[in-house]
Amino acid sequence: MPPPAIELRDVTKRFDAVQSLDGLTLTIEAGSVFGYLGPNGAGKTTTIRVLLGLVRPDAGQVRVLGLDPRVEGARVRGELGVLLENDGLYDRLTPWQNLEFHARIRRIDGPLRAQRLEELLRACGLWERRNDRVATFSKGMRQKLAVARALLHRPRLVLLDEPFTGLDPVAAAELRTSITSLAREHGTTVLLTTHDLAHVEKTCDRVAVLRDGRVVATGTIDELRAGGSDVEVAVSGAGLDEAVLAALKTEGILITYTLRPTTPPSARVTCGRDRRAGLGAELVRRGVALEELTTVRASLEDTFLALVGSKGTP
Amino acid sequence: MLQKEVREIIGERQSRRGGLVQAVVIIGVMGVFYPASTARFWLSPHPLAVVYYAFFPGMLAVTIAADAFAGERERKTLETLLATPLGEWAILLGKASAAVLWALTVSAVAFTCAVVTVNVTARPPGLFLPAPVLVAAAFGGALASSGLLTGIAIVMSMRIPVARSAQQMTALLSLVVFGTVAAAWAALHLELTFPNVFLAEGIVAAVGVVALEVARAMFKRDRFFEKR
Repeated sequence: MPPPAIELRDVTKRFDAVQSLDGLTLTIEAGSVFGYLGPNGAGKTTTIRVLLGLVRPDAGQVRVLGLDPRVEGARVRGELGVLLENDGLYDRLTPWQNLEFHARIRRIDGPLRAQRLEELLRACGLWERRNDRVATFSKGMRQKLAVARALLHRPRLVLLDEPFTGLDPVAAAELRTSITSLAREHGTTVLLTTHDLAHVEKTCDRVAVLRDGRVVATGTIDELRAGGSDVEVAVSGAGLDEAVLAALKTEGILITYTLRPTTPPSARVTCGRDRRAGLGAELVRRGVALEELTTVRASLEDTFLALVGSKGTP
Repeated sequence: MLQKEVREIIGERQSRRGGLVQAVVIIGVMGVFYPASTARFWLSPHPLAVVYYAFFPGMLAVTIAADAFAGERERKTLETLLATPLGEWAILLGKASAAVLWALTVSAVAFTCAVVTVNVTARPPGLFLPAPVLVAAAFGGALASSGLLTGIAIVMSMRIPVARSAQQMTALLSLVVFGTVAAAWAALHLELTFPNVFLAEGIVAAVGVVALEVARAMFKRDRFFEKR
């Protein structure tokens, strides 16, 4: 098994009065697309800066592709492709000049450079605009160019901070496809932060949820959904009425319920995960002729909000 | 890095217009007005002919150098630049070189204009070509002053987040530096001779190297992200 692409162990970082990272421990396997979620101020940007060697942690161990960014920062930055919160493009330069600057830094020389630049500009649909100044580009075009720049040197690890910002649905879908193919076909590891949880569900193999500088949950999306303490259940059947549901709530079996006037009557109820198995028997015991008893799949957003305590925005 | 900086200087329409106006004014003063009124110093030759090369090119360099980090920060490109494997010295040297190169280019154009001006206004018997000592004093001064002010401007650019403020602070400091040199010159009762000019230029250049070394010592990637 290859070594992890990223390993953070008990990493702490304090900025004056703010504890940005508080014992952050995280492992990201090579070749995966990893979603890094958290409300504003949770420490996502600080984590990325720590990985790039731009912020020195107060304590803890950091390994990026087996290297310590504090000691071998230049090598780490050489291996990574990054798209940070701001696209970092030079407005006064053309897309070609922007990519050329980074290609020179990465020592992509000779005919290979021109070939790679053309390939990327064509792939992101900016070949015809290659001689226009970036200042004239829309947000979406800029974002595509910035993603192309991150992939310029075919990095082993790509850090993408909000890559879907400003992209239309078609462009976002194309980017999602590119990201997943990077991991599947080239074995590239992708660390992705985004506010749009729908993209995470469609793109990421695993996710970590960050709150107050520490990871509060990590796993696959299904594991995260299953990890909540409460479950939502759809129930229907003759005899299901307000009295039955209220009694179950009074007895502590249900936490919430919403009765719907359908035929037969139906309801959405929430109960503790430990109460789910016995719920059917309790309803039957109270005279409900059960027709449906299904656990409703929690959305990632519900799970996320539950994990971060609905504090801030994702 | 140098190529990117030069492309950015050329590509910025607003500052290009401003920079061009500044360059035209400086070329007008250094290349036409002043040589026309001091033609005899060019012919003799005397250091008075090129003494202003120790000041104007530096002011040109300040405009570019003060933008080095403050401008990148304002345009939100600094973090991406620092996230590349480019070494700190390479970034610093690239930015400093662009500023000095700009100053030397304008100086070269001004100097050429000055030679033409002297030929036209003084009407020497044959074609006037400047003495090597004059060329050395002019370009030595241009290099020393632009080097010094570039070093100071880059230090300011690292400390001050707004490029315009960094430019103003550098301009203020440069007055102190040149004032000190002028005061020392007067206090030591030095004559305006070529050896003394070269000595002064050497000292200014040495202080410029110190300023660049200070900038180099200050330039640590993580210093830019000390605040959240």
